[in-house]
Amino acid sequence: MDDDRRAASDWPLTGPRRAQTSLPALGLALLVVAVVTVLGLSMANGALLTADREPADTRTARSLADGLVARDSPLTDRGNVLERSRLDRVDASWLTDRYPAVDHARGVRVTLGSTELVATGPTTGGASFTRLVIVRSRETRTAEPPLSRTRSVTLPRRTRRATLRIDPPADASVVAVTAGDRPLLRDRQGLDGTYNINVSRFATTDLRIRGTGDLAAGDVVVTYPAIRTEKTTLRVTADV
Amino acid sequence: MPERLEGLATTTQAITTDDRAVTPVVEKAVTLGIVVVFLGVAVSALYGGAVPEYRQATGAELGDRVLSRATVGVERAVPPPAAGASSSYRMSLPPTIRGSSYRLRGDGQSVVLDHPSDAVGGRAYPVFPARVVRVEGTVPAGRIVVRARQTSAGVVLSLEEGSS
Repeated sequence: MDDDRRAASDWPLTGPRRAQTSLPALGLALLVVAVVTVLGLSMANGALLTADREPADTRTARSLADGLVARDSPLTDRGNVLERSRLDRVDASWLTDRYPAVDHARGVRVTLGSTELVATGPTTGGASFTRLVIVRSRETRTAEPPLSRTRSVTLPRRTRRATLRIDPPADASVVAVTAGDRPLLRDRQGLDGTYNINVSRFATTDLRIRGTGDLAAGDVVVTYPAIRTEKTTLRVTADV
Repeated sequence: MPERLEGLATTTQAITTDDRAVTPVVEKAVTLGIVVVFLGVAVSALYGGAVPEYRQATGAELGDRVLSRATVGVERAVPPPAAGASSSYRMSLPPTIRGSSYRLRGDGQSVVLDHPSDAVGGRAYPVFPARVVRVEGTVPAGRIVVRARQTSAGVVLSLEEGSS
């Protein structure tokens, strides 16, 4: 209490100090309010960032994936079945020309199984969609059965037609061609020429050649389209 | 008289040298002043910077989503590949974004969302099969119908206003 009274000439160090005990509390309260506001703003910012669903990426990738495997896609004859022969022409310029969405995207990548078909640009941060597909490839196979021993040719499944070229030598003749027991071609005078036959594509076909005389390999040539199918996935990634 | 002067001198000395707090009135007034200043600074900072930015960001995001939904609708409106097939696809879009109405426009190979604010809106390219020629038409936001019709060149999609 004695040093309460100091000389006025010692101001400001020791002069009148109007201590106000409620002001620090006010300052603390305002600081708390400011901190809470900043925290709220950062939470709002975080929420806004996670709410960015990139709808353009998602829509482009999904529509492109559906469009490539659809029934009316340039790569398919049937829904979800890609033709190998048409896949060969798929490259970045073809995809960009065909789909303006690819042209105006930053990057689109199409992958079939583990092979990358097309990459038109960077796709980091893009959306991906995968579709299960079957890749169908056709190749024409020729079989020349050694007619001295085996007089049959087995056609695989999914083959529905074949072409037979029958050219026997003078002293032999081919009388009939059957699929199992079902007769396909028959001529008692002897078959000679090129014949087209239709067989069932749901099972393998056992073509049996019946003839007389000394038939050798090359007298009957069977040409047929063999179809192979392979299950794989098509993955489209787009970054718009 | 001298006692009074003496008293005055001691009073002055008392006022200038004591450590007592100010009166509660002054204290409350000072508190009020500080709080008002703080609120003013905080509100101007928020409404000047943070709030318009957030409004713009949410408006842009909503605009993107509406455009995507509309583009998917246009893609779904394509009829199956059969001669003479026509179809219509109805969808309902939010009437306003960020408080303003907007328009949806078909522009050949793309779909455009026109909004008064620059940040909202955009152009999207639907994925069409080869037989679709173009998208055309302008509609205000709300219920819309996408009609497909066959022409000699192919399928033409047009955006029209739908009724409820």
